[in-house]
Formats: sequence, C-alpha cells, structure tokens
Amino acid sequence: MKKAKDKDSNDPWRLDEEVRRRRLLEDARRPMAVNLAETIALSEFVSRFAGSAWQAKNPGES
Amino acid sequence: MTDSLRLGELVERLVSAEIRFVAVGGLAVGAWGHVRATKDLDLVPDPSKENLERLVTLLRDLDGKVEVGEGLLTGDAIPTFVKSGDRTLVLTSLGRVDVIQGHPQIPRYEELEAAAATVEIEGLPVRVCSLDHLLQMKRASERPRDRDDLEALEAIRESHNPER
Repeated sequence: MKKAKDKDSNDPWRLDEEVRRRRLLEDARRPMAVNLAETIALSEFVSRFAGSAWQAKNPGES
Repeated sequence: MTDSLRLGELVERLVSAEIRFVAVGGLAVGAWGHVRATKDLDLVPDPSKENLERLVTLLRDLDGKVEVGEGLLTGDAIPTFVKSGDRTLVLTSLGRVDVIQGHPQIPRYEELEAAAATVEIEGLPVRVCSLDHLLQMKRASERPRDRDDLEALEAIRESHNPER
C-alpha cells in the first residue's frame, strides 16, 4: 500500500498539476495591474511570433 | 493576418478617447491571475448613443473593418453594426476588437460596470469585469478554452474565499 502511495506521489502529471496550481495562485495574489500588463505583453509577443511564422510560410504576401 | 496585435496601445487609445467599456474575455482572465495570451480585445461598451459614437469614431480612425465570416466589410459598415446593438468584430490596425452587445450569456453593461474593478495601466484606468461575472460567463460557454479558463478562475475564486 505504501509503495502505491509513494508511486502516486511521484506521478509527474500530478506534480506538474501541483506546480501549475501553485503558480496560478501566486499570480492571482499579485496586483491586477501587474497581471494585466503581463497579459498584454504576452499577447503582443505571441502575436508577433505568429506573424513572423506566417510570413515565413507565405513569403511575398502581407 | 500579418499585422501584430498592439493590445496595450489599443486599450490606451480607447481610454484616452473617453470610451466607457468593461474589459471581458482574455484580458480580464489575465488580470485576475490566469495569465495567458489573447488574440483580441473583448469589451462590453456603455450602450449610450454618445459613447457608441466615440467608439465608432475610434474604430474608424484605426482603419477598422468589420469581420463577417471569412470576409471584411469597409469601415463604413462599423456604425451600422455597432449601433445595431449586436456583437461586432472589428479588425483594426492595432488588433481585433470584439464589441459585445446583446449577447444572452453576457450581463448588460450597467451590471458589469457596477461590479467591475479599476486597474491602472500606464496611469490610465481600465475597467475590468468582476471575477464573479467572469465566472458566470465562462460557465455559460461550451468552448474548450473557456472550460480551461473556468477551472483556473474557480481555483482563484476558492483561494479568495477559502471558507466557501
């Protein structure tokens, strides 16, 4: 039984979920202005990245 | 397609033009702590005539075009769509704006505004939809992304009120 429990506590999926949840709640404790600024910066970065990828795939088109 | 989203500038232009709106969607989800990228700005505008006129003027100044299915209508169509009171997708030079009105799953502007939080960005006040209203909207949606958002927002709500 103990063996099974140890195995479960080392399950990478479960550990990932714990880390993800902990980070989410840490973010949620930050000032909303910080989260808003970060959301804007991330969205703009992803948009530029996607735009560059699209241009690389469609050279000569705008 | 190749135009990058300039979300910060878009929000700044809206607030500077004294357009009253409440941010919903990805921007609001991020502000509450579930930081993720969003492809557009979802907003619920104050439906007063003067406010919608200011919104239309700005969207036209930003070279906006109305997205209808796969097609784009010229900026001349913006006033008709926005003033119809229905949801309007406008592709501008700073990114896509989803003007949400008359949607059965989205509370009315007055309700959203009464509960919204003010968040300052670059010294400008932005009204962001309350966590409870955001949860209400996400619960009503069937989209997979909204399901992910809902799970995260419920964990955040629980952490705000652990006794619940």
